[in-house]
Amino acid sequence: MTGVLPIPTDDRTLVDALVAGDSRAPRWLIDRFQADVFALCYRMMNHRQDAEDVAQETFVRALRAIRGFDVTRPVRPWLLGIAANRCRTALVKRSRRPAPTESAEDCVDPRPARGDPDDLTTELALALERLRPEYRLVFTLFHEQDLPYEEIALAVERPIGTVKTWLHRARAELAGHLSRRGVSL
Amino acid sequence: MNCREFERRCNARLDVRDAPPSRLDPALDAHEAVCPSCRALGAAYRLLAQAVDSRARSPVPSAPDGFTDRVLAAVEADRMPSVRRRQGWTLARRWLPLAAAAALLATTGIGLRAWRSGLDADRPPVVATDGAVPPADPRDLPKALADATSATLSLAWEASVPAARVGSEVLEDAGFPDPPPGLAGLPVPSVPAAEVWQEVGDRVNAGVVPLSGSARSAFSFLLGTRAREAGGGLPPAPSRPPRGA
Repeated sequence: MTGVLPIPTDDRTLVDALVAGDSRAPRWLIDRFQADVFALCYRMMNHRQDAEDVAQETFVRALRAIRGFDVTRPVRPWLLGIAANRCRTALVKRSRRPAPTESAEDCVDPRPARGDPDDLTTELALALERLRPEYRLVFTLFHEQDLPYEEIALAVERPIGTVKTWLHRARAELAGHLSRRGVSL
Repeated sequence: MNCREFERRCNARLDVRDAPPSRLDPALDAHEAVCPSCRALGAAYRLLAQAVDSRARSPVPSAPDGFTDRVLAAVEADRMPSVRRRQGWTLARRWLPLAAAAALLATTGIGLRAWRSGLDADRPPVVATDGAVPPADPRDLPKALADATSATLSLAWEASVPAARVGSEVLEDAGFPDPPPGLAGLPVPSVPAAEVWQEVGDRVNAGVVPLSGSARSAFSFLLGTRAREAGGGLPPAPSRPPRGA
Protein backbone atom coordinates (compact mmCIF):
# COMPACT_ATOMS: atom_id res chain seq x y z
CA MET A 1 0.00 0.00 0.00
CA THR A 2 1.54 3.31 -1.04
CA GLY A 3 -1.16 5.78 -0.11
CA VAL A 4 -0.01 9.19 1.08
CA LEU A 5 -0.75 9.71 4.75
CA PRO A 6 -2.53 12.92 5.61
CA ILE A 7 -0.49 15.59 7.33
CA PRO A 8 -1.54 15.95 10.96
CA THR A 9 -3.61 19.09 11.22
CA ASP A 10 -3.23 19.62 14.93
CA ASP A 11 -0.02 20.88 16.42
CA ARG A 12 0.13 18.39 19.26
CA THR A 13 0.06 15.34 17.03
CA LEU A 14 2.69 16.82 14.78
CA VAL A 15 5.01 17.78 17.61
CA ASP A 16 4.53 14.42 19.31
CA ALA A 17 5.51 12.69 16.09
CA LEU A 18 8.58 14.88 15.75
CA VAL A 19 9.68 14.31 19.30
CA ALA A 20 9.07 10.58 18.98
CA GLY A 21 11.41 10.51 16.02
CA ASP A 22 8.82 9.60 13.40
CA SER A 23 10.80 9.82 10.18
CA ARG A 24 7.82 11.25 8.30
CA ALA A 25 7.22 14.07 10.74
CA PRO A 26 9.86 16.54 9.45
CA ARG A 27 8.29 16.37 6.00
CA TRP A 28 4.85 16.97 7.56
CA LEU A 29 6.13 20.02 9.36
CA ILE A 30 7.74 21.49 6.26
CA ASP A 31 4.81 20.74 3.98
CA ARG A 32 2.33 22.25 6.38
CA PHE A 33 4.15 25.48 7.18
CA GLN A 34 6.41 26.20 4.22
CA ALA A 35 3.91 28.58 2.61
CA ASP A 36 3.71 30.75 5.74
CA VAL A 37 7.43 30.66 6.40
CA PHE A 38 8.45 31.28 2.82
CA ALA A 39 5.97 34.13 2.42
CA LEU A 40 7.32 35.87 5.50
CA CYS A 41 10.90 35.36 4.39
CA TYR A 42 10.09 36.62 0.91
CA ARG A 43 8.39 39.73 2.21
CA MET A 44 11.21 40.44 4.64
CA MET A 45 14.13 39.72 2.34
CA ASN A 46 12.66 41.01 -0.92
CA HIS A 47 14.84 38.50 -2.67
CA ARG A 48 13.78 35.07 -3.77
CA GLN A 49 17.04 33.19 -3.30
CA ASP A 50 17.69 34.83 0.07
CA ALA A 51 14.14 33.94 1.10
CA GLU A 52 14.69 30.30 0.16
CA ASP A 53 17.92 30.16 2.13
CA VAL A 54 16.39 31.75 5.21
CA ALA A 55 13.29 29.55 5.03
CA GLN A 56 15.49 26.48 4.82
CA GLU A 57 17.55 27.61 7.78
CA THR A 58 14.35 28.23 9.71
CA PHE A 59 13.22 24.63 9.35
CA VAL A 60 16.67 23.27 10.09
CA ARG A 61 16.79 25.23 13.32
CA ALA A 62 13.24 24.36 14.23
CA LEU A 63 13.84 20.65 13.79
CA ARG A 64 17.06 20.93 15.76
CA ALA A 65 15.19 22.54 18.65
CA ILE A 66 11.99 20.55 18.53
CA ARG A 67 12.75 18.48 21.62
CA GLY A 68 12.78 21.62 23.72
CA PHE A 69 9.57 22.95 22.24
CA ASP A 70 6.78 23.75 24.65
CA VAL A 71 3.92 21.61 23.34
CA THR A 72 1.38 23.98 24.84
CA ARG A 73 2.44 26.68 22.37
CA PRO A 74 1.08 26.91 18.86
CA VAL A 75 3.61 25.90 16.22
CA ARG A 76 2.99 28.61 13.64
CA PRO A 77 4.07 31.67 15.69
CA TRP A 78 7.03 29.69 17.00
CA LEU A 79 8.16 28.90 13.48
CA LEU A 80 7.51 32.43 12.27
CA GLY A 81 9.49 33.72 15.23
CA ILE A 82 12.46 31.62 14.19
CA ALA A 83 12.01 32.82 10.62
CA ALA A 84 11.81 36.42 11.82
CA ASN A 85 15.08 36.08 13.74
CA ARG A 86 16.77 34.45 10.78
CA CYS A 87 15.52 37.24 8.51
CA ARG A 88 16.85 39.91 10.83
CA THR A 89 20.23 38.20 10.99
CA ALA A 90 20.30 37.75 7.22
CA LEU A 91 19.36 41.38 6.67
CA VAL A 92 22.17 42.55 8.91
CA LYS A 93 24.63 40.29 7.10
CA ARG A 94 23.37 41.43 3.75
CA SER A 95 23.73 45.07 4.70
CA ARG A 96 27.41 44.48 5.52
CA ARG A 97 28.41 42.81 2.30
CA PRO A 98 28.78 44.54 -1.04
CA ALA A 99 25.79 44.35 -3.32
CA PRO A 100 26.12 41.20 -5.40
CA THR A 101 25.39 40.93 -9.07
CA GLU A 102 22.17 38.95 -9.28
CA SER A 103 19.61 37.93 -11.78
CA ALA A 104 16.57 40.09 -12.27
CA GLU A 105 14.18 37.32 -11.38
CA ASP A 106 15.73 36.93 -7.93
CA CYS A 107 15.29 40.57 -7.03
CA VAL A 108 12.01 42.13 -6.09
CA ASP A 109 12.45 45.58 -7.50
CA PRO A 110 10.73 47.96 -5.09
CA ARG A 111 11.12 51.01 -7.30
CA PRO A 112 8.03 52.30 -9.02
CA ALA A 113 8.17 51.83 -12.71
CA ARG A 114 8.86 54.86 -14.78
CA GLY A 115 5.63 56.51 -15.75
CA ASP A 116 3.80 54.68 -12.98
CA PRO A 117 4.40 56.92 -9.97
CA ASP A 118 1.11 56.06 -8.33
CA ASP A 119 1.79 52.39 -8.07
CA LEU A 120 0.85 51.96 -4.45
CA THR A 121 2.21 48.46 -4.09
CA THR A 122 5.68 49.33 -5.25
CA GLU A 123 5.68 52.55 -3.26
CA LEU A 124 4.75 50.63 -0.16
CA ALA A 125 7.47 48.07 -0.85
CA LEU A 126 9.97 50.89 -1.17
CA ALA A 127 8.81 52.38 2.11
CA LEU A 128 8.97 49.01 3.86
CA GLU A 129 12.58 48.61 2.76
CA ARG A 130 13.41 51.69 4.78
CA LEU A 131 11.71 50.61 7.97
CA ARG A 132 13.56 49.18 10.91
CA PRO A 133 13.51 45.37 10.67
CA GLU A 134 11.33 44.93 13.76
CA TYR A 135 8.78 47.42 12.45
CA ARG A 136 8.74 45.75 9.06
CA LEU A 137 8.38 42.38 10.74
CA VAL A 138 5.33 43.21 12.81
CA PHE A 139 3.79 45.05 9.86
CA THR A 140 4.29 41.98 7.66
CA LEU A 141 3.01 39.58 10.29
CA PHE A 142 -0.11 41.67 10.90
CA HIS A 143 -1.06 42.89 7.46
CA GLU A 144 0.26 40.12 5.26
CA GLN A 145 0.33 37.02 7.42
CA ASP A 146 -2.88 38.06 9.17
CA LEU A 147 -1.58 37.04 12.56
CA PRO A 148 -3.42 38.38 15.61
CA TYR A 149 -1.53 40.50 18.08
CA GLU A 150 -1.20 37.60 20.49
CA GLU A 151 0.56 35.41 17.95
CA ILE A 152 2.80 38.23 16.80
CA ALA A 153 3.82 38.81 20.40
CA LEU A 154 4.71 35.12 20.68
CA ALA A 155 6.63 35.19 17.43
CA VAL A 156 8.74 38.23 18.25
CA GLU A 157 8.88 37.41 21.96
CA ARG A 158 7.72 40.84 23.03
CA PRO A 159 4.70 42.00 25.01
CA ILE A 160 1.57 42.84 23.05
CA GLY A 161 1.96 46.49 23.99
CA THR A 162 5.38 46.59 22.36
CA VAL A 163 3.99 44.95 19.24
CA LYS A 164 1.22 47.54 19.04
CA THR A 165 3.72 50.35 19.46
CA TRP A 166 5.98 48.99 16.73
CA LEU A 167 3.05 48.54 14.37
CA HIS A 168 1.76 52.01 15.13
CA ARG A 169 5.17 53.53 14.39
CA ALA A 170 5.55 51.44 11.25
CA ARG A 171 2.25 52.73 9.90
CA ALA A 172 3.05 56.32 10.82
CA GLU A 173 6.39 56.12 9.01
CA LEU A 174 4.83 54.44 6.00
CA ALA A 175 2.05 57.00 5.79
CA GLY A 176 4.60 59.77 6.06
CA HIS A 177 6.68 58.20 3.31
CA LEU A 178 3.71 57.91 0.96
CA SER A 179 2.73 61.47 1.69
CA ARG A 180 6.25 62.81 1.07
CA ARG A 181 6.49 60.89 -2.19
CA GLY A 182 3.42 62.69 -3.39
CA VAL A 183 1.49 59.52 -4.01
CA SER A 184 -2.18 60.26 -4.39
CA LEU A 185 -5.31 58.20 -4.63
CA MET B 1 -10.52 65.88 19.42
CA ASN B 2 -6.92 67.00 19.33
CA CYS B 3 -4.34 66.19 16.67
CA ARG B 4 -2.75 63.41 18.70
CA GLU B 5 -6.06 61.66 19.17
CA PHE B 6 -6.76 62.14 15.48
CA GLU B 7 -3.52 60.36 14.55
CA ARG B 8 -4.17 57.57 17.05
CA ARG B 9 -7.63 56.91 15.65
CA CYS B 10 -6.40 56.98 12.07
CA ASN B 11 -3.84 54.38 13.02
CA ALA B 12 -6.31 52.28 14.96
CA ARG B 13 -8.62 52.09 11.95
CA LEU B 14 -5.97 49.99 10.26
CA ASP B 15 -6.32 47.42 13.02
CA VAL B 16 -9.68 46.48 11.62
CA ARG B 17 -8.98 43.92 8.96
CA ASP B 18 -11.08 43.97 5.80
CA ALA B 19 -12.73 47.23 6.80
CA PRO B 20 -14.24 49.05 3.83
CA PRO B 21 -11.83 51.93 3.11
CA SER B 22 -14.70 54.26 2.32
CA ARG B 23 -16.14 53.98 5.83
CA LEU B 24 -15.51 57.31 7.51
CA ASP B 25 -15.46 58.35 11.08
CA PRO B 26 -17.55 61.53 11.55
CA ALA B 27 -15.29 62.70 14.38
CA LEU B 28 -12.25 62.41 12.15
CA ASP B 29 -14.04 64.27 9.39
CA ALA B 30 -14.94 67.06 11.78
CA HIS B 31 -11.35 67.46 12.94
CA GLU B 32 -9.98 67.36 9.39
CA ALA B 33 -12.34 70.16 8.46
CA VAL B 34 -10.69 72.53 10.91
CA CYS B 35 -7.08 71.23 10.89
CA PRO B 36 -5.15 71.37 7.62
CA SER B 37 -2.17 69.34 8.88
CA CYS B 38 -4.45 66.54 10.06
CA ARG B 39 -6.26 66.68 6.77
CA ALA B 40 -2.97 65.79 5.06
CA LEU B 41 -2.28 63.16 7.69
CA GLY B 42 -5.72 61.63 7.21
CA ALA B 43 -5.15 61.48 3.47
CA ALA B 44 -1.82 59.75 4.04
CA TYR B 45 -3.44 57.11 6.24
CA ARG B 46 -6.20 56.50 3.71
CA LEU B 47 -3.49 56.06 1.11
CA LEU B 48 -1.68 53.64 3.34
CA ALA B 49 -4.84 51.63 3.91
CA GLN B 50 -5.29 51.30 0.18
CA ALA B 51 -1.63 50.38 -0.33
CA VAL B 52 -1.84 47.72 2.36
CA ASP B 53 -4.94 46.28 0.75
CA SER B 54 -3.29 46.33 -2.64
CA ARG B 55 -0.13 44.65 -1.39
CA ALA B 56 -2.06 42.01 0.52
CA ARG B 57 -3.79 41.05 -2.70
CA SER B 58 -0.56 40.87 -4.69
CA PRO B 59 0.57 37.24 -4.94
CA VAL B 60 3.59 35.99 -3.06
CA PRO B 61 5.53 33.31 -4.94
CA SER B 62 5.43 29.91 -3.36
CA ALA B 63 8.46 27.95 -2.31
CA PRO B 64 10.17 26.31 -5.27
CA ASP B 65 9.61 22.71 -6.29
CA GLY B 66 11.72 20.35 -4.29
CA PHE B 67 11.96 22.77 -1.39
CA THR B 68 10.91 20.12 1.13
CA ASP B 69 13.52 17.65 -0.11
CA ARG B 70 16.17 20.34 -0.06
CA VAL B 71 15.33 21.22 3.54
CA LEU B 72 15.27 17.57 4.58
CA ALA B 73 18.72 17.11 3.05
CA ALA B 74 19.94 20.15 4.97
CA VAL B 75 18.42 18.76 8.17
CA GLU B 76 20.21 15.47 7.61
CA ALA B 77 23.48 17.28 6.96
CA ASP B 78 22.91 19.29 10.13
CA ARG B 79 22.52 16.13 12.20
CA MET B 80 25.74 14.49 11.05
CA PRO B 81 28.20 17.00 12.52
CA SER B 82 26.14 16.95 15.68
CA VAL B 83 26.69 13.21 16.04
CA ARG B 84 30.40 13.68 15.41
CA ARG B 85 30.53 16.49 17.95
CA ARG B 86 28.89 14.29 20.56
CA GLN B 87 31.35 11.48 19.90
CA GLY B 88 34.24 13.89 20.15
CA TRP B 89 32.92 15.29 23.41
CA THR B 90 32.53 11.82 24.88
CA LEU B 91 36.17 11.12 24.11
CA ALA B 92 37.19 14.50 25.47
CA ARG B 93 35.30 13.87 28.69
CA ARG B 94 37.41 10.78 29.33
CA TRP B 95 40.68 12.65 28.80
CA LEU B 96 39.81 15.96 30.39
CA PRO B 97 40.80 15.01 33.96
CA LEU B 98 44.20 13.88 32.80
CA ALA B 99 44.63 16.96 30.64
CA ALA B 100 43.69 19.18 33.56
CA ALA B 101 46.16 17.47 35.84
CA ALA B 102 48.91 17.71 33.22
CA ALA B 103 48.24 21.39 32.64
CA LEU B 104 48.31 22.13 36.35
CA LEU B 105 51.48 20.10 36.78
CA ALA B 106 53.17 22.05 34.01
CA THR B 107 52.05 25.33 35.53
CA THR B 108 53.33 24.31 38.94
CA GLY B 109 56.68 23.22 37.56
CA ILE B 110 57.17 26.48 35.75
CA GLY B 111 56.20 28.44 38.83
CA LEU B 112 58.48 26.43 41.09
CA ARG B 113 61.40 26.99 38.78
CA ALA B 114 60.74 30.68 38.81
CA TRP B 115 60.53 30.73 42.58
CA ARG B 116 63.70 28.74 43.06
CA SER B 117 65.48 30.99 40.63
CA GLY B 118 64.45 33.82 42.88
CA LEU B 119 65.98 32.05 45.91
CA ASP B 120 69.22 31.46 44.05
CA ALA B 121 69.42 35.11 43.22
CA ASP B 122 69.54 35.95 46.93
CA ARG B 123 72.63 33.78 47.52
CA PRO B 124 76.10 35.24 47.21
CA PRO B 125 77.75 34.48 43.89
CA VAL B 126 79.89 31.36 43.80
CA VAL B 127 83.53 32.09 43.36
CA ALA B 128 85.62 29.48 41.55
CA THR B 129 88.63 28.41 43.55
CA ASP B 130 90.41 26.14 41.12
CA GLY B 131 90.52 28.67 38.36
CA ALA B 132 89.15 26.17 35.81
CA VAL B 133 85.83 27.88 35.18
CA PRO B 134 85.67 31.64 35.26
CA PRO B 135 82.81 32.89 37.41
CA ALA B 136 79.85 34.50 35.72
CA ASP B 137 79.73 38.22 35.86
CA PRO B 138 77.39 38.92 38.78
CA ARG B 139 76.23 42.09 37.09
CA ASP B 140 74.49 39.97 34.43
CA LEU B 141 72.58 37.91 36.95
CA PRO B 142 69.76 40.37 37.81
CA LYS B 143 69.10 40.99 34.13
CA ALA B 144 69.12 37.28 33.30
CA LEU B 145 66.88 36.57 36.24
CA ALA B 146 64.48 39.32 35.27
CA ASP B 147 64.31 37.96 31.73
CA ALA B 148 63.78 34.43 32.94
CA THR B 149 61.11 35.52 35.39
CA SER B 150 59.28 37.48 32.75
CA ALA B 151 59.38 34.59 30.31
CA THR B 152 58.32 32.12 32.97
CA LEU B 153 55.42 34.24 34.09
CA SER B 154 54.27 34.60 30.51
CA LEU B 155 54.39 30.85 30.09
CA ALA B 156 52.64 30.32 33.40
CA TRP B 157 49.94 32.77 32.43
CA GLU B 158 49.37 31.05 29.11
CA ALA B 159 49.24 27.67 30.79
CA SER B 160 47.03 28.78 33.67
CA VAL B 161 44.12 30.07 31.63
CA PRO B 162 43.47 26.85 29.71
CA ALA B 163 44.15 24.89 32.87
CA ALA B 164 41.50 26.85 34.74
CA ARG B 165 39.10 26.44 31.85
CA VAL B 166 39.71 22.72 31.68
CA GLY B 167 39.31 22.46 35.42
CA SER B 168 36.02 24.29 35.26
CA GLU B 169 34.77 21.98 32.54
CA VAL B 170 35.82 18.99 34.57
CA LEU B 171 33.83 20.22 37.53
CA GLU B 172 30.80 20.83 35.39
CA ASP B 173 31.10 17.32 34.11
CA ALA B 174 29.67 14.42 36.09
CA GLY B 175 32.86 13.76 37.97
CA PHE B 176 35.99 11.90 37.02
CA PRO B 177 35.29 8.85 34.86
CA ASP B 178 37.56 5.86 34.77
CA PRO B 179 40.98 6.61 33.36
CA PRO B 180 41.46 5.75 29.71
CA PRO B 181 42.59 2.20 28.88
CA GLY B 182 46.30 1.79 29.35
CA LEU B 183 46.47 4.51 31.96
CA ALA B 184 44.65 2.65 34.68
CA GLY B 185 47.85 2.12 36.60
CA LEU B 186 48.71 5.80 36.77
CA PRO B 187 47.73 7.67 39.89
CA VAL B 188 44.96 10.12 39.27
CA PRO B 189 45.06 12.99 41.72
CA SER B 190 42.16 13.48 44.03
CA VAL B 191 39.84 16.31 43.07
CA PRO B 192 40.16 19.46 45.15
CA ALA B 193 37.06 21.06 46.54
CA ALA B 194 34.95 22.94 44.03
CA GLU B 195 35.52 26.23 45.78
CA VAL B 196 39.28 25.84 45.44
CA TRP B 197 38.92 25.30 41.69
CA GLN B 198 36.65 28.30 41.50
CA GLU B 199 39.05 30.45 43.43
CA VAL B 200 42.00 29.40 41.28
CA GLY B 201 40.02 30.21 38.15
CA ASP B 202 38.92 33.55 39.54
CA ARG B 203 42.41 34.55 40.52
CA VAL B 204 43.90 33.45 37.23
CA ASN B 205 41.28 35.53 35.48
CA ALA B 206 42.06 38.42 37.78
CA GLY B 207 45.71 38.26 36.78
CA VAL B 208 47.10 36.92 40.06
CA VAL B 209 50.58 35.50 39.48
CA PRO B 210 51.05 31.74 39.94
CA LEU B 211 51.94 30.38 43.32
CA SER B 212 49.74 32.80 45.18
CA GLY B 213 48.15 31.32 48.28
CA SER B 214 45.14 29.99 46.45
CA ALA B 215 47.17 28.52 43.64
CA ARG B 216 49.47 26.85 46.10
CA SER B 217 46.52 25.39 47.91
CA ALA B 218 45.00 24.16 44.68
CA PHE B 219 48.23 22.65 43.39
CA SER B 220 49.23 20.97 46.61
CA PHE B 221 47.28 17.85 45.69
CA LEU B 222 49.94 17.13 43.09
CA LEU B 223 52.36 16.26 45.88
CA GLY B 224 50.20 13.40 47.09
CA THR B 225 48.32 12.71 50.25
CA ARG B 226 51.32 11.59 52.31
CA ALA B 227 53.30 14.73 51.64
CA ARG B 228 50.34 16.90 52.57
CA GLU B 229 49.74 15.01 55.81
CA ALA B 230 53.39 15.41 56.69
CA GLY B 231 53.17 19.09 56.12
CA GLY B 232 55.56 18.74 53.22
CA GLY B 233 53.55 20.71 50.76
CA LEU B 234 54.96 23.29 48.49
CA PRO B 235 57.60 25.50 50.00
CA PRO B 236 56.30 28.68 51.53
CA ALA B 237 55.68 31.57 49.27
CA PRO B 238 58.53 34.03 49.12
CA SER B 239 57.79 37.02 51.20
CA ARG B 240 57.50 40.14 49.16
CA PRO B 241 59.84 42.97 50.07
CA PRO B 242 58.07 45.96 51.53
CA ARG B 243 57.02 48.56 49.03
CA GLY B 244 59.82 50.98 48.35
CA ALA B 245 62.50 48.67 49.76
